[in-house]
Amino acid sequence: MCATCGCGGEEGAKHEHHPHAWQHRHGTEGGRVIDLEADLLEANAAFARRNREIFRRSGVLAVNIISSPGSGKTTLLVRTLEALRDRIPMAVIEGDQQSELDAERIRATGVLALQIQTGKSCHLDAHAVAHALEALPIPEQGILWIENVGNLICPALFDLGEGKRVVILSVTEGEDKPRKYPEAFHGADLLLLSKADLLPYVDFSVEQCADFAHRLRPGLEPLLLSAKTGKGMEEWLRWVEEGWLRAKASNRPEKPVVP
Amino acid sequence: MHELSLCRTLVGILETQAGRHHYRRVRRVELRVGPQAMVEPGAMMFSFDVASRGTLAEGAVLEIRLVPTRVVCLDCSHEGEAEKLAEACAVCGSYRLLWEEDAGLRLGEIEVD
Repeated sequence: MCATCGCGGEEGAKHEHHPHAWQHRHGTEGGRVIDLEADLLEANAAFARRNREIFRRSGVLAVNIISSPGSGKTTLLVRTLEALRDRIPMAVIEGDQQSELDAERIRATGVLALQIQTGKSCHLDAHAVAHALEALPIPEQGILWIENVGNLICPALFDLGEGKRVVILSVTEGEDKPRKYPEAFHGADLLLLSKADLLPYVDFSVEQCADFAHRLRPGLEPLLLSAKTGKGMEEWLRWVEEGWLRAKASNRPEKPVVP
Repeated sequence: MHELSLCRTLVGILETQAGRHHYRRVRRVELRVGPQAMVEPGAMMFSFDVASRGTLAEGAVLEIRLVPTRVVCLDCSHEGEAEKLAEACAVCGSYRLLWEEDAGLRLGEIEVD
């Protein structure tokens, strides 16, 4: 067996490994070759399209929040809900492997929250969100927050149908994370650097972090934020409101044409 | 370990297609993986062994082909290919690259009996 890709080349690896040589065929003992061309992520993509259509029709901005555990997703969310709840209809989907802890923290703000317990699974997928949408009244013309499972790797692969994707990196985690976990940053619309009040106590280079982030997504500007001191909150809320207004505007029912 | 759930999906597709293409056993499975697919080949191999146990794909060989994505440099307009994220333009060294559609994670050829 070939040690590079595990394929069953005869007597070791006689065939060449060319990075794009998916066209080559192996010497076989008469097996039939069929080209299936099936997308493994199609099942998720189909649910994501459905969710996106529901959000569009309801004029809802759906925000998928991705970060490692303990970066302050829930704390930021609680502060954000408190700031906007009087003006914007909102609801929250919480993803965790176990417990209702996060949903309880959200409900304390008076905003509806649904907890998805993913069990052994390390991410939310579009199918789980589709089911959550059946149980949770959708905040028409408002914002649906989806707090993903704390994990900087797997959630990045699964489109939930969201309108915006926010990645949170706390300054205690180190500026090298975009290099180590590129996909989460490549797909992000906004990068929040949380716990900014701790910057004086940790070795975290905002400049280097921004540089790595730009390599993955040109124009991805990190926003320094502290839910504790309120630093950056104003800018963050402005970003959220702008996205919300856009989502609302693009879904306004068409006015009947007056002749 | 999302690789395990992906491999369960993969085995599910192989089982569904068996009736349509009239096969009883799968010998080889080709998986085409784009740079953004977030799949670790080692974990995928291991998970495939687990997920295929007791199915018509048990013992099949999983071939993982990394398929580069076409990129266009926003600074010098050079068109090239990237095999992983955060690659620089081969001509001017800029990281401002526009990514075209990724191969994602696709089941390609299979060899069957």
